[in-house]
Amino acid sequence: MTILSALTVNELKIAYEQKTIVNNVSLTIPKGSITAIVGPNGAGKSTFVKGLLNLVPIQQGEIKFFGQSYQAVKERIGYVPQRADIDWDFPVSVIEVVLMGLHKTLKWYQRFNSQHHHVARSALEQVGMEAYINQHIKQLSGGQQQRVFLARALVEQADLYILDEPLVGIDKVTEKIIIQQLHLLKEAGKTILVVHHDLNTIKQYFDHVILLNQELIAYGEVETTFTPHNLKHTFKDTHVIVGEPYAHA
Amino acid sequence: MLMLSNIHWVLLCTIALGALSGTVSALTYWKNQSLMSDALSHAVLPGVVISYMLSGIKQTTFMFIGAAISALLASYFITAITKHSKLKADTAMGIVLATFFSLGLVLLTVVNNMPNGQQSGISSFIYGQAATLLKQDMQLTIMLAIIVISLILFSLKQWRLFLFDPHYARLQGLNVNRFERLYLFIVVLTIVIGIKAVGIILMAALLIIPAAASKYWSTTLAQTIMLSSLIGASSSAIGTWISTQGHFIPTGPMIVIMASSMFTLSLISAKCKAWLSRINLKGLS
Amino acid sequence: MYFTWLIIAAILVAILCSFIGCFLILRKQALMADAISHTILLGIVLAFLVSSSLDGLPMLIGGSMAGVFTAALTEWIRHRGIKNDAAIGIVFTTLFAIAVVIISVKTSHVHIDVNHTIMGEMAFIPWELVSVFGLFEAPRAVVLLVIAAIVVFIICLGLYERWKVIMFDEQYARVIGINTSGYNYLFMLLLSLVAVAAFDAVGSILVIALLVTPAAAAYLWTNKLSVMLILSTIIGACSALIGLLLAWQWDTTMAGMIALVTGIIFTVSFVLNKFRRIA
Repeated sequence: MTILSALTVNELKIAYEQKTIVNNVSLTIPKGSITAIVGPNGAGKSTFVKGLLNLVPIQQGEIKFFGQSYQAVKERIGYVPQRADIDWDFPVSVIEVVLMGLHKTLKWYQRFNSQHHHVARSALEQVGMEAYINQHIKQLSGGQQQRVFLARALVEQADLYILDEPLVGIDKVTEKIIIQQLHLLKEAGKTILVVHHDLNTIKQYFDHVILLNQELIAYGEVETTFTPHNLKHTFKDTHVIVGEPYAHA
Repeated sequence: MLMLSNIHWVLLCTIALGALSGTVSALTYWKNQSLMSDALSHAVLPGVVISYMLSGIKQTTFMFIGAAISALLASYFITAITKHSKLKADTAMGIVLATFFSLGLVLLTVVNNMPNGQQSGISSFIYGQAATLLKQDMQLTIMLAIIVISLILFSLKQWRLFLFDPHYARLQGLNVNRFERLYLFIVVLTIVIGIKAVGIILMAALLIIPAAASKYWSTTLAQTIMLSSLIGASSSAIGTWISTQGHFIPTGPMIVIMASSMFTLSLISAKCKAWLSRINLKGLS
Repeated sequence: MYFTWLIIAAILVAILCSFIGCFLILRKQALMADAISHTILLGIVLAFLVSSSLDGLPMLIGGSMAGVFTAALTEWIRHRGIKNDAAIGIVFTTLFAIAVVIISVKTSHVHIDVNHTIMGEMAFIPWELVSVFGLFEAPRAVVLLVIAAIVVFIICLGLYERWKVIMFDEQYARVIGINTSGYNYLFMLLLSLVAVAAFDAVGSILVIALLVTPAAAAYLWTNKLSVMLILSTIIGACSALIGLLLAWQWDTTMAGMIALVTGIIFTVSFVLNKFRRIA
């Protein structure tokens, strides 16, 4: 089981100031899958993901990546954070952002050499942003910024990619490029985990899904898990039209 | 040894300080901690006074150490207040600033009542008195400035990562906590050595204005640092020079006015540039 | 009589500042107050140069205008893409530097002394007596403080509900039609008024201490604005009284001692509150 799973979580609990945000979540994500995490606003999806990456403290629970602790396999995990957390005014160019993904390959006294630049440039070509290489990031549109951040994740050559709401507020072209790149990664054997906001595209983009609303409602393959019944339980405090007229709680 | 007159050393010293403050201002600006410099500058006072009281003599090195300890304590309290209560950062800074500074003032009156109190040299910390710096202090300042600026430039890629996206930096293996401490250390060091030249009240200016002035004309962190450093150095040089031309013109405020003028120029020329490019575009269409 | 007026002045300043300070920290504008307390010096200096007198009215006008100008200039710079903190820092250090230069160059023979303006020294409160409604005489500074206090209390209590909305959720306030920008400048004007009235007595640093610290200490104990206001003024008044007594006892600066006492009361509140939360 360990060899086949990219991520195993056991009874994970994350709380902040006496308020439980993620409660008793246990799940497994198989290698080579592309999984969406969905839930209503405030469901703890972002927090869950940050907890996995040790960016927020967890109260209890066990997290195993490829059968090992996060610290042991850090280099194999790539992360694309929410765009809202970034100061877009910051003086940094597109290529400099992508090069950040290669930071862990260098010692503190070493510089980025031409090979690093080559790798960064290739990643930008993959997402169609090579023309903007020396531009300031604030000159880019939301979608273009997102693509640059994807390029940053790509150069990390990770085995598991975690993306937090990558498709929010972007144009259609960017959405297509990002999904295309994610599927290419999946075909190469990588595992993808995406905090996703748009229920209408789940069946189209993903093969696995996790339904989260502070507690785990369900997880597994989209076919069997992404059902009206489970959705009703996940979004029970909001009205969701699921192919039935006005599915009330 | 270089045969320079004292005025030349003062000029070199203020230029070095300006360059250092400019460089560090780039870090504080992009870390969103511009006014922390003001709070920490005020917070050095009790440290300076206490170290004078303990050592009994006017020893710059002791006062530097006292100042540094005081500022570090203040920074710790500010963080503690925001972390352990509902009070926000600005309130915490105000409280610590006022309390520390008033403690310093109270102790200062005690010192002034002491036998040699009037010669303590403490007021030069409050108002800045570049001309009273001893040659070895100036040489030390210049050396420290060169070392710190070189260190920052050498580890620029780490600073870029740390300032831009600290969460991601942690994931990339950067020891973010160590960098926080290093950042604080650099800011406190800059404040402590800069205060002697421009004084407590205006030190914050040197740690805020250069970075803001460079914002309109730089697109990468490297450019920001170099431009801020240049602005800091030149305003110090020009300000110091102007103050030697008249009788009552104080150095510190003059340097600040120079820096602000450069900021204003930078802002206006950026607006002109934007306005011109808009006209160009309209002309083309 | 001198000591009595001193105590009255101190308590008045404390109550005035602690009161408006509650609104200040809830609006998260403590550092703007810090800035204004420095820039009113420029206003006062310019008022002096224009009117050639250190009288109350020019000073009040000059100082208040300087305060509002500070807020306006900061806003202008912020709109040009500079971060809020930095904008405040640029404005107040520059205006203060200009003030110091003007003082040093032009008025070195007159009473305005930078030392005094920063640290204040209550012994130098303008003690010229003015007549109040022809009934009795009181020191000018005290009269100024009383006027400021009346204005501030009336306006704050009158606009209480509206300000609560703005402080809680500014965007919502704007949406329901409240002129948040106008009220913001009104608040800055009041703040400047308080700063000027207090400034002559106690200097910059004490003004900040009294504006921020008692309100912060009160905020630790309660979540209700009305309670916070009352508690804050009590803490402020006690600080003034205790600070004065201690300063006389130990022969040290009165303004500094009062400021220090506010800090001590805050620290005690903070520590006690931590234990209350753990318990």
